[in-house]
Amino acid sequence: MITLTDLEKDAFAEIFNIGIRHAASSLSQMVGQEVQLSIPIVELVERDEAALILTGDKQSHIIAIREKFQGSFKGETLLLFPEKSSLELVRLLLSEQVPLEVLTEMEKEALTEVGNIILTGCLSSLADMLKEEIVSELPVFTEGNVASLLSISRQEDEHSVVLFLKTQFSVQEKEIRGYVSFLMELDAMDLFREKVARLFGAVTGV
Amino acid sequence: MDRGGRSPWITSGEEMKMSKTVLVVDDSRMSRMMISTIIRTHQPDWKIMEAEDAVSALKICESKAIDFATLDMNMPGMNGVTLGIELCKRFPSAHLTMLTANVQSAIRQKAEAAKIGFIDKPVTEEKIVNFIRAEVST
Repeated sequence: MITLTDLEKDAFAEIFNIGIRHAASSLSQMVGQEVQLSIPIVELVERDEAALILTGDKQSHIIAIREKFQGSFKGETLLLFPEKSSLELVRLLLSEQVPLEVLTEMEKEALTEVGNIILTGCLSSLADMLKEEIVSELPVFTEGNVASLLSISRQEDEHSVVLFLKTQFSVQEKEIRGYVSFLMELDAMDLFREKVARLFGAVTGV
Repeated sequence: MDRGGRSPWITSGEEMKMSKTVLVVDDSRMSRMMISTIIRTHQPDWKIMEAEDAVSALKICESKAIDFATLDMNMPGMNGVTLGIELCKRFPSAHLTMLTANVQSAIRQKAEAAKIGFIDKPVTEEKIVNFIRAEVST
């Protein structure tokens, strides 16, 4: 059974953080406001446990934009919002460029593109850091409870273990908050460890 | 106000005012709308055409020549760089740029090798204006 040492968790969080900071900077450019980030949580967890860590409640209704990725590393990355935050975000993003009557109709498309910009940007900086090419699929908009989102996102056993990371972000002035999350399959865990070790080898000793 | 474009007496300085044709290729309607709105605001006389994927973009270009194009990378079907290479062959003097959130070095290098510019998303007025201005003034 694979386990993570505290130093590995730290190193993994730092690597993912580079992507997350890129995501926060993109979001900040889009909304013209400062974006705050929480300290990321990194764990090896079963897929259904990830749902619980994400919101504390498997049944809460959320909006999610998912982007699967493959290449040297496989998995998916998610941008999650409570419903209220997503509406607020769309209003903030589109009010100047898009007439009000088109706004509601475009909500899903707008959120999907926001997700695309944030998640693809995040994956890109991660790929560059690890010196590997990551191929991201097109973003998919979904809504529902967290448990169903995570299980439909892959037709795999909900007890399969994934490397899980979560960071909360918020735009305080507008009461917008949400999460960026990664779920990475463990097939390439050895390669990932090796890559991280090359970057942080001296510190982690892995 | 003299829009210049069709006057037989235009000087090279005024040539900049001539109407240009821009192709905006992006599978996101929001992005296409934002890019087009910015270009229209700054160059109201320019013709702007939108395509949601490479196939539609190539179809549009069968009957129209383009001066500028912004290309998204990740789209259904053919990706933006491959489309860009195709457009370069058809319109060697057109100004093309990738406009994408896929900012990986690997993608930048592919664009550079194909002599296609690179702008990272999100779309902002400044980035789009710099693209059309820089290219117009060269």
